[in-house]
Amino acid sequence: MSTKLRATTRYLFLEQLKQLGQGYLALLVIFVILPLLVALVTGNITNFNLLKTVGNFSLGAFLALFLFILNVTTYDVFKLLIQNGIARRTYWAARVICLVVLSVLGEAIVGLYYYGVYAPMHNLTTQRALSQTAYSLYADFLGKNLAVNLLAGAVFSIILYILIGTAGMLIGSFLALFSKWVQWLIIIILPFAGFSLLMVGISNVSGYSNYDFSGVEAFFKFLIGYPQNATAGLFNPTVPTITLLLLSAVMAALAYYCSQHLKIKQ
Amino acid sequence: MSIEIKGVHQAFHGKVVLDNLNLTIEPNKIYGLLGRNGAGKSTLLNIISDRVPARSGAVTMDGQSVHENNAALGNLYLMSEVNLYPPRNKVDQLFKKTANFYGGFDTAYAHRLAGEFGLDLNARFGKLSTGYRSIFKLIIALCVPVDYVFLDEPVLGLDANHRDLFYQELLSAYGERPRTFVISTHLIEEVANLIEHVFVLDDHRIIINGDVSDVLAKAYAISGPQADVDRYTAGLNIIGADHLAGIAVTYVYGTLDNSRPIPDTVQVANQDLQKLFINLTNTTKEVSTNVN
Repeated sequence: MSTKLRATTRYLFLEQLKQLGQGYLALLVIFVILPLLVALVTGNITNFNLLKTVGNFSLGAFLALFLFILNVTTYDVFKLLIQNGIARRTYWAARVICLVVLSVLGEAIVGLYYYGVYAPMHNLTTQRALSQTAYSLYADFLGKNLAVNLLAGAVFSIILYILIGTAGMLIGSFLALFSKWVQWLIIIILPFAGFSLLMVGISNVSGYSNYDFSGVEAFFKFLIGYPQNATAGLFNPTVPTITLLLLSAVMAALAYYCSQHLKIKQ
Repeated sequence: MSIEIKGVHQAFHGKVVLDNLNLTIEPNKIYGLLGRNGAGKSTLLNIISDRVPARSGAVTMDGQSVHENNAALGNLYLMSEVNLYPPRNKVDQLFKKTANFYGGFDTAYAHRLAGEFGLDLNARFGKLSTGYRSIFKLIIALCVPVDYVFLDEPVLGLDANHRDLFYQELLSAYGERPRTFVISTHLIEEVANLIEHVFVLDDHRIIINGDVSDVLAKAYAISGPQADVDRYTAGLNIIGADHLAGIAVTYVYGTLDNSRPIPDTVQVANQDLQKLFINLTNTTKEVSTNVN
């Protein structure tokens, strides 16, 4: 790793770590401290259950949202880095490294909380808790070894976080190419246009009652790793894992292409 | 070791901003980059520092393209009017961030300069006045360990005392560690004695590229009665004229006709850099074809 890449990665990582800490703190303030204070002030402290409140966080969803927003933010960091003589390529590489490291670190925190706090408070065994995660369809595929299943579940989650992060990176890098006004236009128009197209597509297809969807169905089954007559938990995670990795790589590559065209706006 | 700008062409929304520019910026020299508003000075500096990629042409440092080149980009610093630092960061935090990216940043010198200029290290960048933002960026420009420093309107918002202090510090820093400074400014009189070499950008092209002493040696102000001045300057490269209380002053850029005797009523003096600039850029079309 070059000196510049190391310096940039270190800078980004420490900033992101600080922001993640601030995010967790905000969660604590909004969902624990404020309700506690309100309960104290209104005299309803007997109805306030601290353990129940602490045990109901969705840290995984929070981490996914955090990684997405973090990676959408592109231009402000680019400004600082180009002012300090850092090339666009180095910025992109540092972001990818930080995303991977933060996904691993974040998943470790999520895992500790989920299996250490959430599962016991909801009277769930560890294997049962695993069956309620994004890995639920594949939770028993690798057999009965709990450690292996937990590790596989964690890896699957990390890849999901990376996919969400690279999606944010692509959107952020793309939007950063435009002026604020055009950015808002894109944010408003694109989802609307996409939804309209979808509606048109559905209405067109619904006119053909004899349209054969079996090909589409088979493709989706293939993508989620559905084998014949398997029950949830015994799906094969190989294809979905590879698909997620490929999608992440494509989005990271597109983000790289967009970041190569970043420039300081006049 | 130099920065070469070869055939750089840039246009925004179909309007040409830089038209096939060719320049060489050599090490350890102080340059002046002069041009009227909209001439393309800031665009040129943005292209050199890779903030804006050139549409065509190339910028190289030691033969290596500057574009996407960490080594080259880390060996230059552009201080510009545009504020690229996070507004919520404190001044001292930004010094530390700069030190992280530019290894060898002279933090002690930065703190000393902040003290001299009265810049509060704990102030947030976004809360600084225009003048103090300029001072902050100037301090960084003087403390980064680079060989090429580009200053785009460096004294924007600075009062006379701070401008004077900056020029002193610039010369002192240059004396201690020679490096290249390229100063783009409208305050020509203030930098006229600092710069060794001048580029004049007009109508999106370089119309003057030379050492200040050589350029001024060819810039004359010929004064006297109108008829005598007209007779003496006939056929020379006239770039401007003034009339004052019956006395005519004609400005010439180029060599005089040595075979032509100077009438007793006519005086020949040299123009200063600002006057030369005004005359050259006022008469773009006539001059640009004759001066190079």
